[in-house]
Amino acid sequence: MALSPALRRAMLAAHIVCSVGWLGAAAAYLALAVAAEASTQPQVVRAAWIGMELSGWFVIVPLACLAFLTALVLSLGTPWGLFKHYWVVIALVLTTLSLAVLLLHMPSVSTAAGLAQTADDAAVRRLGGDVLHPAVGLLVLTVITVLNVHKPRGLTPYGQHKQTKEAKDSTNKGAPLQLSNRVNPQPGRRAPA
Amino acid sequence: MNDMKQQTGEPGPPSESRQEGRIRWIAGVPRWVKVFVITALGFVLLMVVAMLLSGGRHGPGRHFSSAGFEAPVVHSARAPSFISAGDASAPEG
Repeated sequence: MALSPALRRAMLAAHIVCSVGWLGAAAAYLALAVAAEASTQPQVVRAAWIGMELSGWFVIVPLACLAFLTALVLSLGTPWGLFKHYWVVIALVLTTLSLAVLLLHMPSVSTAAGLAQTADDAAVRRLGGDVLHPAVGLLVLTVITVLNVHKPRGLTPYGQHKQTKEAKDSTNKGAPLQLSNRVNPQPGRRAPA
Repeated sequence: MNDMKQQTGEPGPPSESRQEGRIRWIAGVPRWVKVFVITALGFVLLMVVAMLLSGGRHGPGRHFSSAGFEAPVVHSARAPSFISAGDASAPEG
């Protein structure tokens, strides 16, 4: 299941592109949402909602799905694992929640964008914006990014169990204990090649 | 009493009580994880309170309804999104 170094680097590059792209697209969505919320001009509100729907379905959702998938592949294909380190578990939970909220929320955005195109001016002004979702989303994505860059120490009970087991196995086979450090790549704080 | 002696007399993970195990597990959790979880719970609590104070109109259940937004009245048979706008403007028949 371990990825080759070349494949791992390619997957890491894809994951960074998708994750940072998701963050940037969410920031652009927030700008449109603020414009829709703050503006009293129906044309601005209409344009903002159309932009929010398009960027949501065609940029944010694909990038979020790809970021999630590449994260899964990277976790499972490297010694970091999915449940061995607290920071990976927390990042996984936050990413899954963000993706779920995004997918649940986008149909509502489509509904509002449809209304923005067909409703009269007074109704469009009452439509307002959608500031809360992208604002909280940006905060969560920033936290995930910080966790990924910083990689704080800490093995979960499962990670400790796996590390102990691998250390025992390598000792029984007569291999040097250094092998167990590959399972827990904490000292370098970088994903091992 | 005898059982208790047996429980406390044998050191090691198999004989430790559930509470001891829980305490040992919590003690083993890094401090940054505890701080993170407490902060996240505080943030979620804050969001829930804000939601309730604003009338409780927003929440996960909103996304399961047919129209998520409190939509204004639209005098149109369809409310197409931009994605399906081409279909809406196409001549019928």
